[in-house]
Amino acid sequence: MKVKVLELDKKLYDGEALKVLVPAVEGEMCLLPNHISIVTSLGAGRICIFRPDSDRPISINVKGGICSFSDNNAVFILE
Amino acid sequence: MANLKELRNKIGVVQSIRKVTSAMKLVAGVKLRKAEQKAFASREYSSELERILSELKNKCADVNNELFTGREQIKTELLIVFSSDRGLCGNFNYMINKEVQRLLYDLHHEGKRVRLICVGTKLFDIFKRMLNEEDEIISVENFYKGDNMFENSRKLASDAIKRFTDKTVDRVSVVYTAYYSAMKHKIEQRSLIPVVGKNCEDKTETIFEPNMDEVLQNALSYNIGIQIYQAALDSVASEQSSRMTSMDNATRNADEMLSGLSVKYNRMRQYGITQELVEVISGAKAIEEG
Repeated sequence: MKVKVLELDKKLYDGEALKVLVPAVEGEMCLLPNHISIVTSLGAGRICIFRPDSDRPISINVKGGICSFSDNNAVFILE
Repeated sequence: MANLKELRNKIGVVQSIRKVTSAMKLVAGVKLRKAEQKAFASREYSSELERILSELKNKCADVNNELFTGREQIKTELLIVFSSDRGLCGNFNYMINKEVQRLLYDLHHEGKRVRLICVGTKLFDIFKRMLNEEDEIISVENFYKGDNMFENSRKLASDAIKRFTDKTVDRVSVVYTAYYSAMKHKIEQRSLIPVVGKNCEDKTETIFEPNMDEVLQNALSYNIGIQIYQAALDSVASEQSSRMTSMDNATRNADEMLSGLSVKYNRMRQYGITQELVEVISGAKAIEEG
């Protein structure tokens, strides 16, 4: 699946991912390929992106924002 | 030789104008580069946010949020117009003025009232004269000054949302000059309330967390602020690009004038010298013959 993490003035990540841990406002959740379409508000926490070409996940701190997942495309809009 | 002196003065004036316009061109060039970087950096962010909301509009039919769906009857429209604080930027303000005039004509023709929020002081007086008695105009000053543009955009967004929820206005749009490249800008009108739906084939069910109303309310009010901010960034970049082009033209015109004037000056000077020589030679000849 494709993941895009956007901040107002820069792109923090744009690429493939095996799974993503999302700090949703009601607790952490995991996005895997073929997940049902979901739109969620983000709480304070850390997005962890597990990449196919590396064992080390990328971790991005967030304060809030919105996450949309549909058609195997995840977009994170960070506030 | 009063004429020669006049010409010398004229050349001096044109030279100093040329210096000013070429300095303004350089300053506008530097400002344009900064403004362009900012406008391009946040474009993907704002368009992704807008895309998410407009796709949701097509998927979710049962939303009970007026910011999302809009009102059926539109009596008053709020236009947020971006012009500039300063002049000397070619036809930048003229084009916005023309577009707003056209929009106002259409809205008045449909019997709607208009509330105009004018960002940038340059066109405030002109817009004021174009409105009917029941219309209202508000000028936003110092919007572009300093690094507070994001904060100012969010303030403007919450003001627009307040007017919408108070039912003073029924629709909100923004009119601005979209920046594509230094040579290409275009006046665009974009609807902020309601969200414009986009065609998408994916009609699968979408889950909302924690719930649809909360997610939409947060996302919608944030989106309005971001779209206003993006419009302001585009407008600033277009203004600087317009200024750079017009100052470049002015510098080139000054160069042309200068070369014409110096040819004229040299020709006059040469004519004076030739005439003096003729007088001296004919005087000497007369003495010789006498």
